[in-house]
Amino acid sequence: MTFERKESPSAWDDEALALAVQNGDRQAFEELVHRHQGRVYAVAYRMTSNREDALDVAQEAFIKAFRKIHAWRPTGSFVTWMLKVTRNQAIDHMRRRSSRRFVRLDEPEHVQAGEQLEGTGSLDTERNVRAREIDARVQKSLDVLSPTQRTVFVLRHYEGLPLADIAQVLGCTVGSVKVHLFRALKKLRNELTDLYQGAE
Amino acid sequence: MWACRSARKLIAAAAYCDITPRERARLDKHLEQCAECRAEAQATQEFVAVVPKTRPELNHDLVPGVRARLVEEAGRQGARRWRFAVAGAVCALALFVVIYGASTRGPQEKATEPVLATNPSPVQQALGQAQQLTQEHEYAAAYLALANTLKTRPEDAAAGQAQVVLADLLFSKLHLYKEAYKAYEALLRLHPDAYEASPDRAELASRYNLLREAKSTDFESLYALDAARDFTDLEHVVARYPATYVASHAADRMALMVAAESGFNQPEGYLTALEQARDECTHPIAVAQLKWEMGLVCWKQLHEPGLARDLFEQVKTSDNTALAELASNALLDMRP
Repeated sequence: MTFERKESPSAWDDEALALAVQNGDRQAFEELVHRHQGRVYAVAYRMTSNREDALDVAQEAFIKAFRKIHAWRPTGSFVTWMLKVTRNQAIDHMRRRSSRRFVRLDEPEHVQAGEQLEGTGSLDTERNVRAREIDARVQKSLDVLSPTQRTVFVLRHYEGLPLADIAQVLGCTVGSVKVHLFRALKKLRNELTDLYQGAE
Repeated sequence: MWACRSARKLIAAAAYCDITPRERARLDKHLEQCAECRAEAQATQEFVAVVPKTRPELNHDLVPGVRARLVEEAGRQGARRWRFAVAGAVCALALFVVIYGASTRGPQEKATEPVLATNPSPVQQALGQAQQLTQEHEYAAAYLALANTLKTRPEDAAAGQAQVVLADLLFSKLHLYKEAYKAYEALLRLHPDAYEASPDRAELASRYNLLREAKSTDFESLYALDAARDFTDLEHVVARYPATYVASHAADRMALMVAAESGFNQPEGYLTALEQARDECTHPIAVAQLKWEMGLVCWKQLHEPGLARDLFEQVKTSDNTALAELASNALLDMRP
């Protein structure tokens, strides 16, 4: 703990922090971890479908980012670069996991029978319960996608990353990203036809 | 001709509104003419709308784990560098002895016995090494240098001093609080003389108490304090861990944030800063904690028992039982 009066790294933008990390500032790196851990974990979870694996992937991704911070160029966004590292780490992890011959999937978070819900019976509650069910089903269906399709869908749908940034993550053209996104959505739609047909 | 294949490339992007106006116009034109692509576009749009965009919540701060891993790695690298450096120095010394010996010693001359100066003990050497590594910000390597030597030389005369330095590294540089707690415990148990003789004895005691208290939260309270970046974060720490040493440290930082540049180190200036911090607080528990801190300054530093009593009386009526109890006890202690 430090109590000196100095400008806090929390006031810096990502790129200033990343430059500081390149100059050996570990506090700046901790600020980056603090700032982006939620997003990195979310992507890791969407890629692995397992909370423990996602925690491992997120932690490893940050360690790798620290080791390879000199590969980041100030001309690009730090977050985009970090998500690229996360995506690669998740794919490596899934590869190793499949070679271990067992797969652990988190149970979808269904609402248990008899569980007391605030405002039971209200429209909001019904919507929330349905949204959770849909989310769990979509999460399971992500396994039908190729790693690239999955990356594109996760980064566009859940993280709201522009297609141009996703192209940077994948190292391909925006046109290719559009094709991957279309194929990903098509596959998911085929898996989950009942979800949207007749949806209000 | 602009075919369905090209249109489909845009359908998904259009569902996320991630296409240029020109692409949009081309797509719309095609959809007007092609029923199949129109159905495809509608289904895609419906599907995108129905899939929730929820983000799984991370209920775990990754910073301590990442920090520990980096420290571990840096330690391994540092130790490796030191092994190379020591090996290099030994080789250089051996070479020097061989060359110098050959050039100065005649064929009949007997080698003289080396004169041994009073050599520093292994733990003293490790202390020197740790000091140098600390100056180079290689804290993990400094820690390892001490820990490894202490393991093999627990009876060394400098072991107590080394234990003080080791605990300090863990606490203030590496922020590994669980390990720091164990290190301070070992200091008190195995080297009580070094603890008593330390010029920083009061600071050591304060840290040990802080760590012992934080142990009940598995040191989460200390990590929360470390992670707090602004006034609001600190207020949350105070509200979550009221009437603790961690809350006092957080209050101290809050005062520091709002304090005027000068006078913070004087009791009057510190009291003013605490008062300003209290005025900025929105959480009632944080307000009560700040009042408690102000009362302590009035009582212990400014020797103004009247002011202190007023503040403690206010804290006593706080909804937080821990703070109310602290204030009640203080009021009892203040009775003549």
